[in-house]
Amino acid sequence: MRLKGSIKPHIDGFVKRWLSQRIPPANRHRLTMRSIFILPSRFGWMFLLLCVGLFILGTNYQNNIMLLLCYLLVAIFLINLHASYWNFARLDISIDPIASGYAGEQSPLQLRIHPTNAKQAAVGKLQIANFNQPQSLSIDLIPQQPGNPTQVCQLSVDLPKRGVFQFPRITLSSFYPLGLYRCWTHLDFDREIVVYPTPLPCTLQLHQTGVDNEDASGLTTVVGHDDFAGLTPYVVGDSLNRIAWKQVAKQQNWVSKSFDSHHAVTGWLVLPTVSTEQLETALSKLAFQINQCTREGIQFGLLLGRQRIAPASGDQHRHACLRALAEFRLH
Amino acid sequence: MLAITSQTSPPIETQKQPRAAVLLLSMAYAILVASMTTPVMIWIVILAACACVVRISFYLRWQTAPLRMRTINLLAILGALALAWFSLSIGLLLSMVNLLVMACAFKLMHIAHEKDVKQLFVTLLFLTACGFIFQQSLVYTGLYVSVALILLVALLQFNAPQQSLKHSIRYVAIQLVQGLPIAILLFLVLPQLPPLWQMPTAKGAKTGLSDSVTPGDIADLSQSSELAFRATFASEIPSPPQRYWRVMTLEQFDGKTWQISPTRKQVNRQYRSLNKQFSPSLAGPTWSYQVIAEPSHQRWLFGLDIAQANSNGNNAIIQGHEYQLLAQRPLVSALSYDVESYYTEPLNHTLLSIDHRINLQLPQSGNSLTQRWVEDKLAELDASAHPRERAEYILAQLRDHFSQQQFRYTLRPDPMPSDPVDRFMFDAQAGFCAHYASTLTYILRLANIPARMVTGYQGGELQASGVMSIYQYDAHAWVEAWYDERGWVRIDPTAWVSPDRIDFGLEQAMRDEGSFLADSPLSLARFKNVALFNNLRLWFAQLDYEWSKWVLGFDANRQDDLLEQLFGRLTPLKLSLIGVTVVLTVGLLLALYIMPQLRKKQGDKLTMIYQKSADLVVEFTGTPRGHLPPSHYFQAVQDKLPNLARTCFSELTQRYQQHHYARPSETRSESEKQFKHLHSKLKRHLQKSR
Repeated sequence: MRLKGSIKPHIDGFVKRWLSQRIPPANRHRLTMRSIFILPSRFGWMFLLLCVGLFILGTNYQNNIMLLLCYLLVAIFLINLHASYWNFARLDISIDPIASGYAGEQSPLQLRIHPTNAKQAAVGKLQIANFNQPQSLSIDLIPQQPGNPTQVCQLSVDLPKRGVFQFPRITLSSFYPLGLYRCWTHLDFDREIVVYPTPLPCTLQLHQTGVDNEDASGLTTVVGHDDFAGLTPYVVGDSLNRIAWKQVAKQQNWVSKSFDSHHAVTGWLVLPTVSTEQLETALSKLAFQINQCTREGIQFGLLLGRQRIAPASGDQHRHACLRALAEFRLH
Repeated sequence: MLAITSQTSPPIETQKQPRAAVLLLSMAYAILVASMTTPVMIWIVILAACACVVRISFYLRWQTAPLRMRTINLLAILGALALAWFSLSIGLLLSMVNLLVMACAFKLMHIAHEKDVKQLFVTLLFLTACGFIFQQSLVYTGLYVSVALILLVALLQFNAPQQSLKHSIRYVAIQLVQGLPIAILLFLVLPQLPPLWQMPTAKGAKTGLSDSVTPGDIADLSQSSELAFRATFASEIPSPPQRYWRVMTLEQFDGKTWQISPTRKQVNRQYRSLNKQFSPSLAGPTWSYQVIAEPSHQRWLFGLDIAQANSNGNNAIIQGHEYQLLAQRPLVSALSYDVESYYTEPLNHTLLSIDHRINLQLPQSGNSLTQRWVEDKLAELDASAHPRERAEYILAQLRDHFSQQQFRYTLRPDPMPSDPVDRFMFDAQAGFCAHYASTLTYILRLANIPARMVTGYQGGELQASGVMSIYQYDAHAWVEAWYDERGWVRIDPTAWVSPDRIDFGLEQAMRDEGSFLADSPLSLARFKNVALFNNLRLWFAQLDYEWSKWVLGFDANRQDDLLEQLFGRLTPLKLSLIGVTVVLTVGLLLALYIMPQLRKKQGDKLTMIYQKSADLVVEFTGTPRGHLPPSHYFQAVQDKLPNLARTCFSELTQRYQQHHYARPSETRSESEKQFKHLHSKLKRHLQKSR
């Protein structure tokens, strides 16, 4: 048992390498000789055993019709090898880009089955499973209709934890037509899945400074404007952020930029210095704050360790920030 | 780590469809059981019917909750106990078949998983094959092949529930038709092996004559229009009164029943242990013919006296000391053998002493009236008379008695429970061949003349081309007596009473009584006087004959003949070459079957040409294409291509894309030509600028 345990990872690694050479990642897979594997299923072996039984029975009873029936079943077994293969080879599969989601949720997955041929399409049940995993779910391939050539299967992906992942290799298999053979393939779709941290409700903490200093006094909940209104003479106490450094550099007077105040505040969301255990919680809180800022239209920037995302607002910005959270690692 | 789950629940349709598959399975099961009512016990048939009803009520949603496992298990245990009890009397083979039928019934009542459906399928397919143990005629073969078709359709429906039933049937039928040539090829070429081991045979499945005759028994057979055997004559054909097909010789009489003599069995055992085959030296004119015996599950064979036979198959034939033919193993399938009948030879090759001792045996008591009758008759005769005189005198007296008392030949004799010979001789005075034969044999023995009863078939219907069919209703019994140097002489007392029976067959003899096949009103043999029906019957008999001859009777000898006819003398080299040829032929056939698929794939020829061109470009520019779409790839390489080649590749890319994503304006062959042209141009330009 132990030996098996120690060998298994090596074998798995070898198989993975071999597969990635044989069936390289792509967004759309048209099944061919290279990507299809076919072997008799367990039922197929049972069927062959039945044929052997009939041969013995037919021989012992010197019964020619029984022998003929036995040979006919063997012939059907052979013919089904082709039938299974060609049916499976008619599959042409792609998946749409996968929407990002929060850890613990599910993301919809659209699997498209395209027709390869005007007249015939793959039929039967298609089993979909993760590579190397026994649980599978089955789809009935719908016989092709002229109006709607592409069949779209609505599946979903579990997103258990934060991160950016490659969509894993999936195994598609089919037992059509008589279940005597199992045709299968391990497809690698070249899609990435971005899993954001689960938002954790907390109070919004916007830092006035982009610099990473915990004890900065600029911890506020209400500063920041959106629109540049003009320049005002510098008054001691104005935030350094607001100093129009260009003007200073031009040897002019120190002036501060002033903003219209009909909008909410602006500021930085900062990842506090935390231990590894607290990291996920902190990131989850940030995710919540990012969502809240976006909802309230607050302009915010993000400081994650050395990474810095300039203040902005809008959905695109939110996704960029959340993605940064998803990718973040402590060094 | 990432799990794929189905977002929408699977369509409800899938719930319904396996039910269709299961219903098809139960249909096949019902047909199977209905066709096997003889081997399957009646209570199991009822059980099977219940299972089918359960399935139908599930299908129609009268019943939705599955049956409780406990109920079914309890039923199964009770059923198994009952079957174990009956198995003592019905033998191993029938018990096994009954067990299979019963198991299928319980499985059908409780189908919970996919696994159950598959198991049921395999068991039913096996049961279908078992049907061939009991029935091998053309009609039943057709029936069982249809059952196999239904089973395969059910399996297809199970695996592809979305497909329509019509489509499924077509699909499976095509596969069966495709499989047939392969099956026939394998059948013709794979060696016909002898039985690997002795299989149990069915007691209840035996057909034909039984090895004991209580007068009246053969009358049962006379109600059956089943075929017993066929003979194909190569020589001249014997006239109807000569067609006495011997099956067995009964030499032991207990006052009621005739049986094979235990002394005879013992003698035969001794002969066998000494390895002394009965092989008399025979000469004279012969009838030569080939017999194809139907599977009777018995060892008895058929021949005209004196028959010498050679088996064509693996089942050897033993020549008996009673001039009968016996197969080494019971006939579980059709057996064909060649016979030479030396019809002028007297039957005097056996040991007189043994035959006398066995054939003078008399029952201890009973039938006293007949005994007195014989004593009276013998008293009129000189005590020192030659046995022949005595025999001829007794025969004449009996014949007189029969004609004076107006004995009748009937298929509906009165029952004669005690002293049957007395009752027949003096009360009923009407009976069947077994009554006459039994009475005569008994009387001859009383007169101290060795006599025995022979059962077999008398007659036969001649069909075209020297083929004679002998049916069960031709069963007959006659007498043999030994009273001079001619040895055993055949005497048929039935002929005294009903000469029609011998000359024209049972049907003619029974014309007035109307009892011919009275129990099977639909039998085509009853309608011989309707021309259409008779032609139909004869045509079908001919078809069945060909089936028996070529399929059922195909055996090792015939296989060798066929192969030698085709390939000349069979050397090991030739045999292995034949083997290789067969494998290649099967491969070729399979390839032939997928040709349509390949042709459809050819639609991608344009892709192939584009691919080839792209490969050339890759080779020239060194830029791999990877998974780039054609237009992107063109953009990536256009700067690296020489001018002329670039225009070619550009056009090719454009056309290819157009072809793939828009309706092309030109026909496929035109665009193929265009593509080829562009490809060769591109090739030329690239080669030039290298």
